[in-house]
Amino acid sequence: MVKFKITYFLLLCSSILSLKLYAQNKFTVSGKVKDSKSGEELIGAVVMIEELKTTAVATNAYGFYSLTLPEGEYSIYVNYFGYQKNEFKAKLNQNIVHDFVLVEEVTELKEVVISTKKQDDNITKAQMGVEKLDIKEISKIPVLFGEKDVLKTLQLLPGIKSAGDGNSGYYVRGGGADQNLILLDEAPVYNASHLLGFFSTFNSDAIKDVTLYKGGMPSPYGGRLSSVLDIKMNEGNDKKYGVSGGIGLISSRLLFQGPIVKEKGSFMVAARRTYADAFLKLSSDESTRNSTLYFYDINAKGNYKINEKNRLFVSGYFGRDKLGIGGTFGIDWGNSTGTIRWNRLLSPKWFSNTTGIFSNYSYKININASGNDFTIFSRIRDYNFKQEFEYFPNPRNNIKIGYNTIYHKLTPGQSTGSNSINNSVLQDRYSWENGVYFSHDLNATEKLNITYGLRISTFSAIGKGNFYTYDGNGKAIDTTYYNSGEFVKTYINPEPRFSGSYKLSSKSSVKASYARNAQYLHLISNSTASSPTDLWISSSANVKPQLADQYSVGYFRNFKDNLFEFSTEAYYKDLQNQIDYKNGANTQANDKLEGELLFGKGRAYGIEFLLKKKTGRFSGWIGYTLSRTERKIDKINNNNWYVARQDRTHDISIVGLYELNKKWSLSATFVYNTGNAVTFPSGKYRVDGDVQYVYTERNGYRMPAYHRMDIGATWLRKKTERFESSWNFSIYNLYGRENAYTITFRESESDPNKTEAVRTALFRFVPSFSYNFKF
Amino acid sequence: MKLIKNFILISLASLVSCTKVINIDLNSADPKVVIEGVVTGLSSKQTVTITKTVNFNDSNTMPAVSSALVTISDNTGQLDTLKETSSGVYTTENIAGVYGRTYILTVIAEGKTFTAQSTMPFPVNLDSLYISTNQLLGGITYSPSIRFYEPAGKGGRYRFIRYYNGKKEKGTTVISDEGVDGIIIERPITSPRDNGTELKVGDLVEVDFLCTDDAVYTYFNSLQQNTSGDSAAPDNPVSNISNGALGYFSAHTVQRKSTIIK
Repeated sequence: MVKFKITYFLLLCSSILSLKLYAQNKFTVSGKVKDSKSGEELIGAVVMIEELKTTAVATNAYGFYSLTLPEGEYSIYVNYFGYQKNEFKAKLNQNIVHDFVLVEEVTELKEVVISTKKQDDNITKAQMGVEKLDIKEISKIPVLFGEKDVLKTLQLLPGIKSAGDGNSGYYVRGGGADQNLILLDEAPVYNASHLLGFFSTFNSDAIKDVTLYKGGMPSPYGGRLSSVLDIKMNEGNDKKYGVSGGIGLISSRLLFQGPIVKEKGSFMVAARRTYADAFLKLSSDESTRNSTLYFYDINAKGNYKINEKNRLFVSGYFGRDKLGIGGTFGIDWGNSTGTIRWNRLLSPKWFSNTTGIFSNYSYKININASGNDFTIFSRIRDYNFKQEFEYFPNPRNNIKIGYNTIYHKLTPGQSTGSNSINNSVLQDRYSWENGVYFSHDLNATEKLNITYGLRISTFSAIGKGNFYTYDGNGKAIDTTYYNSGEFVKTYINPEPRFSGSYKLSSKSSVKASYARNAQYLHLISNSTASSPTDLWISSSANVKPQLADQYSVGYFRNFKDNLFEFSTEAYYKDLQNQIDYKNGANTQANDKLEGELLFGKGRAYGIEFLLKKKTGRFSGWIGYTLSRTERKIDKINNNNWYVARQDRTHDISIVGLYELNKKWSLSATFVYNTGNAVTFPSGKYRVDGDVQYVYTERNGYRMPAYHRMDIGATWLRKKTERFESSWNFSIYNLYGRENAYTITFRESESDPNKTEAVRTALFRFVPSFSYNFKF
Repeated sequence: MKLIKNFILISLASLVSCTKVINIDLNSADPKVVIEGVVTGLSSKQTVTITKTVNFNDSNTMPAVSSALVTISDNTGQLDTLKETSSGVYTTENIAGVYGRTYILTVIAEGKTFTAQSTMPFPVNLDSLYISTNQLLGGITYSPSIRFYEPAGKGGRYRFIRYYNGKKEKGTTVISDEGVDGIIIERPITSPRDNGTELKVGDLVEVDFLCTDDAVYTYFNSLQQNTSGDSAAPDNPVSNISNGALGYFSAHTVQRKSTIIK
């Protein structure tokens, strides 16, 4: 095995070196691929050469491409789905810079474009376990309250599972909700939900590109075990000003974009606010009328081209949820992120990206009860710096080398009261996370594509503060004080990544991947519903980093001239250092919380199937996942393996979009999944005069199966060059399935001598509509 | 968090959410022994109740465990065997709860021996019981609140039992001095369990203030967490009784205060 690895590595090296040998009279053509109307760079557009059928490169995340070819005359063209083919005749006897400006294809079917990828990308690319979403596609799929939502749409794909009604948390291939890295313009987002999960924090108007990696993450990403959701914001139109927006039942959106300097720079500002609390004003009760319940968020981005080689981007997000009951109780929480990015073209073959990132998540609870003013405040703050070099030696190789450093400051909770009683301050925690990586995309042969890389991550818990040593029962036995900046504990983890594809024919391929991921920040929750106050803790001497090894294999096949895509992927994931609370853990304002934790391991495996029809009047997909997720944690379930809460044996989703005519398009989705694993009582007894329940095994029961159908219709009312308007109608949970949100047990109200189970269901038939416009 | 969630549910989803009593086929489990033993300083009469668990769908009458051998001893060498005064209820009048003493309970029942120990802490004085009012959704709500000085450095663990108009209210509230050591503690003591009985003007509120040891605190704290309804993984509370019995054994001080809502 080792020998094989070494040989393999040498082969790779020689494949790069050997290029040098033949490198006489080679020149580079490089540049950007852009949309003709808005000037937005197009990500993942495929640049091909008529004369060299097997040579192709894709634009990177900034729309940049670089092709190095032997001297000669070529016709180079760009194929990007939904756009007209664009050709360029190049006489390559020197390095050339050429930007492709693509014109959108104007056909009746434009609006049902499902994928922007090269038509058989899924077959040829080495990367597996990746899902890309088109924003146009998202807008067609019916969702709750008609608010189109990136996260909810992703959950319709195999391997990505919703945490349930009223919860925008999601589980990827058996991982926990905190094991997903969510990046908005490279800035980590710690809480991706609004209104306790009924909406996600991402305003889809402001989003350009969404990519989710559920396996075989490329080495530039790190820090979470299960998945990476990489969201890029729109850059704004650099040719003309535009306004678009929507007015819905409970929320409205507005987006404004335009050039800063024509064709040199542009900006985009998008804002959203809900007014669900308007309904509260109708109440006859005064404190209900005085209550607040809303969120708002703002996305803004600007970019400026300093010259042909340098470009600057600034982007930011600010969102806040506000919730208040009369004057008695209030909570507000939200994320803010800021990104400054500098793209530099060092040479036609070297591309550099330097980024400074700020990310903040905080919540504040105000309680003014019983004449007792009380505030709880908590925050996570990240300062992040990234440098990446991308090297395009020739069309068959693409190399990324980079460095990333993050300084985390966690403020777990400060409670302050007006009359100086009940005050408590938990210590702030400081840490420093680093990653260095390289990643190599290699077209080894016409049939074999591989991407491999290595990320080395380090994490150091640093002072100042008191750090505790615990005994086997979680009792603090020793306290050590560390000064500011002093290192308490450092972890180093090499994280190898590999994925490869082998083309069996022009229509099918097999792929395999392996990835190791390390996670140093952990979200601890002991409640079934995600809450803004769930606690993030960092790794320390007692809390070891979580580690995951994921192995996956897949088979990809296209039918009928790429009209249908079929894929299946099987995965096995091995998880180490998983964390759970002890039974009866003291979680409130506990400085020695680490003593209340238990550690163990996990495993997850499954197989996913996806059949997709990409084009035509009727499009959509069917996804099915068969999976199992288990945990084995010290002192839980008598140290036996048990199924994790998010374990779902079966998970089916069906999405259909139908273009009825030029004006009307219809859509429907259906989802079915096995209920979550839960712990229910197996008996009862009386203690302290009250009936109590006996539990015999962890997660030994299942919630009832969840299923739901949603339908939607879009009516394109008017469409001209200058003005476009449409109406969107949808019904969530069409047949009114009462899906269990919770099942609780209580003493019967009608017969106090009995106990009963009570199911609470949310959202039966939620109709909604919205009006959208663009000019 | 329960408050937030309820609020969200009420305001956002009340139009569409629904609650229904449903039938769930719950497994039956072998009956387990449940022991509830209390030593107080109030009188020299101490009681231990022994029952068994029943299946979820059975009625709430728990079968008594009779003919058990029950003894209580302390660290000064006292030992007494309790008499079964009614079915499953064992009492003695020969052991008085004394501050600082450790008591040991031994129960031999159903062919098994169960033991537990508990130390009666020194008492702390409850300064006051008062009613705080809140203007909440749907009108004024009344919460019994307490105020006391928590002595520094003693590892104080406290438990509150409420009685409304003479009837015990469901649930209990426990407080530990972690993070609030040596200061005045002033707060409402309403239980997170259920929505509770609604209080109104004229109601009599009585509160028992118990000083307990850490194991008893842990028992009731875990009991409370596991019954709060939205716990991700409910489990049996952490008992201080050995050999797999459910329940607890507590030596504690009791102070009662009462007030009438005006």
